[in-house]
Formats: sequence, structure tokens, C-alpha cells
Amino acid sequence: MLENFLGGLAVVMQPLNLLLLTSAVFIGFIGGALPGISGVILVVILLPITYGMDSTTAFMLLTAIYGATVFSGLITAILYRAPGTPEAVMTAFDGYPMTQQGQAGKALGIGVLSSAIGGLVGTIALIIFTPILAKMALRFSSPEYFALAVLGLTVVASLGGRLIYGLIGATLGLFIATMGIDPLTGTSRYTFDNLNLMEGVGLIPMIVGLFAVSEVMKRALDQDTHQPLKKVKVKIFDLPVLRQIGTTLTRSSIIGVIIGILPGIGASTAAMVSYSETVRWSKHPEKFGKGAPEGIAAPESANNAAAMGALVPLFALGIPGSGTTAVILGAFIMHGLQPGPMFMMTHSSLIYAVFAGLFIVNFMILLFSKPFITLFTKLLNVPYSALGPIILMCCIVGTYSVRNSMFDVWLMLGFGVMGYLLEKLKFPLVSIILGLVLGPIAESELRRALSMSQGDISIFFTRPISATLLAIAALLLAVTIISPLIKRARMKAATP
Amino acid sequence: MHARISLFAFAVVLLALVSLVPTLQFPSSAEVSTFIGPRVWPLTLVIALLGLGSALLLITWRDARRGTIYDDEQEEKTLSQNDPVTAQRFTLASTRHWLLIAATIIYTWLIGMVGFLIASIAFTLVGTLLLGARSWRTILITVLIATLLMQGVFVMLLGIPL
Repeated sequence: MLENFLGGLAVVMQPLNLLLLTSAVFIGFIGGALPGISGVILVVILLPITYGMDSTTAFMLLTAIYGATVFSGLITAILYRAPGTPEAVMTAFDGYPMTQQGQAGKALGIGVLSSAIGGLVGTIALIIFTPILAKMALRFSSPEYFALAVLGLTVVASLGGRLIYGLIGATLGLFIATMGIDPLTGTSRYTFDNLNLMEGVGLIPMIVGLFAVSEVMKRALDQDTHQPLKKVKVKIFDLPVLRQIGTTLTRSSIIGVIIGILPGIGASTAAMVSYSETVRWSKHPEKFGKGAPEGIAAPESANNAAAMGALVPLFALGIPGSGTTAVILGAFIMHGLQPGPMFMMTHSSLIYAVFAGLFIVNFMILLFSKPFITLFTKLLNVPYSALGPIILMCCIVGTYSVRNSMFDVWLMLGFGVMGYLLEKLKFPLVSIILGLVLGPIAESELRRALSMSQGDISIFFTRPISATLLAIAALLLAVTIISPLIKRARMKAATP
Repeated sequence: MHARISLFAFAVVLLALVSLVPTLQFPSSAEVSTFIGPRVWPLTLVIALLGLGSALLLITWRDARRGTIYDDEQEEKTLSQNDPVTAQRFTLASTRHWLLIAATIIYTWLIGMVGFLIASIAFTLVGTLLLGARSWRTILITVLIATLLMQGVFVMLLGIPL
């Protein structure tokens, strides 16, 4: 493992890769710090651009951006109470009161340090657990892969919003994935004799349309509410503060890693759970929400650790642990790669280069965050009227460049309008992507498994691994359905 | 909100019903050499969509009859009361997202006529104006960045033939 990691480190240290990694950190910083441009959107915008790159470089770039966006969401959360990413929502609770008390620099310093430590713990967990999980998964056959796809699809239950929306979204994605030539029989499905549809609906037009175009439409309506910012002096290494938050950092990083590895729970939940645990363990719970340093350290270390942890099931099993990792899975498929147990063996150099890249990214966060925050206070004044058209232009050029197809551009615009309308209903758009990404695996493995058993469905329940995976999927779904019912019953009982 | 959700649920049901026709024409398992034919999976999904769409329609109608107000509906009401832009309909500010999409459609059509570079310059100019930029400095800088991105990054650096 260590040898592979050192090999990965050597790849990362090549001047061009190091330069790209530095650029990725800066792009991620900007994207994560600007409210409305989340990690998903940033990865989506840059996805077509990476198509022409070597796979190792492309995934080092995308995962580094992913890591940096999770970090930088804290900046606007602390300075404006406007979290740059959903993962930073909890950070605003204590970060913004500190800014109001004139301690913005101290709050940002705590956030930066906590993020870097959480990210490092998460990356170490990623390096240790991915090969173990992948080795276990080598015993997988078609029934287990189908069960894995089902488990991956249960992520929709925890995406937030109404469960029925998530189910409709996933089914819609699975349905769209059936378009094109059936790989097992060669039958054309829903192509309507259109040559552009023979290869099916592309991931890029769908992802770019649903996320980026719909977001530009949404932001076009927003008014610019940002206030001009005063100069902020950030202090990262403050020994008394470090002593105060040390225990919180350790506990929250561990919570973050565990939650991150579980499919579908994600970094935002990790931040919330670790915050509530910190309040529970604190001797002064009354200080939280009023500017407690532990209130910044807990969510920031947990969300960064969870973001790295969410990559474990992606690399080891080929199932995404969160929305952004679902998009990264799409990027792997676009590059002709399929993450999963065999992937660790066939593409170990790529995986360890990504691991090493993520390891370095956490140090870069520590190194570059201070000058970035100074620069960012100026960048935040760039109006969306300048940003919006450029994002749209990148979406169009990027989508076109993947297959040199204007049909894909039209498709992307259609998905953009659809995404905007669905967002009005608070529809979890990621569920559609999950269906589209996991659809081909689910269908082909189901058909292969049923061929193996001569049509006997019990094959999924008699094999221990597939039965366990399906049981976990059912459990996750049941918990999501039952817990709001219990909550509602408790609230009813509490109301006199 | 109930009307919007009903419309969406109706669209899902309609999509499932319309898709049922071509789905039933795919070869069945008996007609192909594989154990499970290409019809089984899409047919299952179409039936699931039909069921889920109908369920959403029924739940929404039930909620409408009971007068249930969704959390997001409450949020939206408060927002529109506080926000003069959403309160005024059919002004440039309230329809600019649709105008921007219209401009993007024209841009996409224009690409085929005049090429990426000229179309992109024209689109960035119109786009920034539509999104409310009034300073010529901002507009010019945006157009310049768009041109540099198009030629410098996409064409020269990444080698994408446009």
C-alpha cells in the first residue's frame, strides 16, 4: 500500500500535475466560496474539459476541486451567513456571530485548520479502507453487483425532500438509461430512428443541463445582496485555540469518516451530527450559536472528513456515496472507466495518484487559504451578470466538444429548462443522475443473474453478500420512511 | 403548489402511457437468445413510473382537498411577499431567466450559422445586458474574457476543434 502511495505521490509531484493540482485548488476555492456554485456544478462545468485529458490527470483535477469546494464553503458562511456549499450550513451558526463580534479572522483560521485536519483524516481513511473493501468485493458476481446497484439507488431516500420525488427521479433516470442500443441483444430502444440516440442519452448533456443551466436560470432572478467586505486578517495556528478545539477535532473527524463511508448520507449530515454531538459533550452548551470556536471546528472537520470518506464506496464498490461523487462516477464512465473491486487492481496507479493528490490538497488548503481569502474579498464583487453568460457559454462549448454534437447541446438546454422547473418543486435532481448512472449496471447484472439462475429470483437472497446488501438497502429505505413518522408521532404527543 | 405538483405528476403518468406503446413492441424474452429479453426491464420501469406518477397525483389531490400547506409553499409565499421582483409579473427583472434561455437558444442556432467565436461574442454581450449589467467596462471585460476562454482555453490549450 505504502509503495503504491509513494508511486502516486511521484505522479502528483510531476511539475505539470502539481501545477494542475494548484489550479484545481484555486478553482475549487472560488467555486465553493461563491454561493450558488456548488461542488457538483463546478465538477459538471469542468467535466467536458477533462475529456481530452489523460485519465489520471483528469481525476486528480476533479477530486481536488471536489475537496477544495467542500473546504471553501465556510468562507461566505462565516463572513456573510451565506454558506457557499450545503456542507457549510452548520458553520454559519457560530462562524457568523464571531464575525459580528469582530473575530472574523479567528473564525476563518479555526475553519481552515479544522477543514485541513478533517480532510487529512478522511484521506488517510480513504487510503486504508478502499483496498480492504475492494478486496472483499472481489468475490462479487452478477447478483451482488445488482444488489450493489440497488443499494446505490437507495441513496435517493436520503437526498432530502419528499421520498416519492426521489423514487420518481431514480426511475426516470433508469428509464432514460434504457434508450439506445440494448448491449445484450442489439435491439434499438426508444431511438425513433434517430442516429444521435443510438448511443443513448449522454451523461454530459443531462448533468450540465440539470445542474448548471438550471442554476444560471435560478440565479438570473436573484438580486445581488452582497455587502462590500472589510479587510480580514486570518490567523490559522493559534495554540490556545488549538488546545480548546483539539478533542472536538478528533471526535468530529472520526464521525465524519464513518458517516462519509455510508452511502447516501453525505457531508452535510456529517456536519450536523458532529455539531450536535459537540453540543452534547460540551460543558457549556449555552455558548453554541453565539460564537463558540468548537461550533466551527466540529462541522468543518466532519464535512471534510466525510467528503473524503464518500470516495471509499465509489472507488471500492463503484457506488457513489453522495451527489458530487455520483457526478464523479459519471465522469469515470465518460472516460471509459468503471470503478469497482477490479478497478483497484487494473488502475491502481490512477487511484493512488488521486489519493496522493487529495493528500497534498489538504496541505495546499493550509498554504493557500490565507492569500485566497484576501483575494476572494475582492472577487466577491464580480457581478453575476458577468459570471452567468460565461458559465452558459462554457456549458454549451463543453457539451458540444464531448461528441461534436449539436444534438447534445439542444438536449442539454432541454434538460436545463426541465431542471429549473423541477427545482421549483424542490425535486432532488441528483436522483435522476443516480438512475442514469446505475441503470446500465442494474439492468445488465439483473439479466445476467437471472440467466445464471434460470429465472429463479431466490438467487439474490440465497447468496450471503447479495442478501446482506439487499437487506442493508431495505433497512436504509425503511429507516428513512419510518423516522419522520416517529418524529411526527412524538410531536403530536408533545402538543397539549 | 398543488397545481404545479399535479401538473408534474400528470406529465409523469402521460410519459409512462406514451412510452408503453413502443415498449410493448420490443422483442419479448421468447423472441431472443438471451434468457431475459430487452422488453422486461423498460416495461418494469414504465409500470413503476405509471404507479409512482398516479400515487403522487392522488396524494396531491388528497392534500389539496385537506388544505395541506407544504413547508416550501410557506417559504415561497414569505419570499414573494418580501421580494418585489417576484411580486411584479412580466417585468424584465421577473422574466429575465426565460429571456436568457431564449438568448441561449438563439446563440445555439447562431453557432451553426456564423461559428462559435462570433456567436459567443454576441451572446456574452446580450447575456450580460439581460442579467442587468449597465457599466460598459463590465460588459467589455466579460466579452473579452469570453473570447479569451473560447480561443485561448478551448481551442488553443485544450485543442477542442470549434
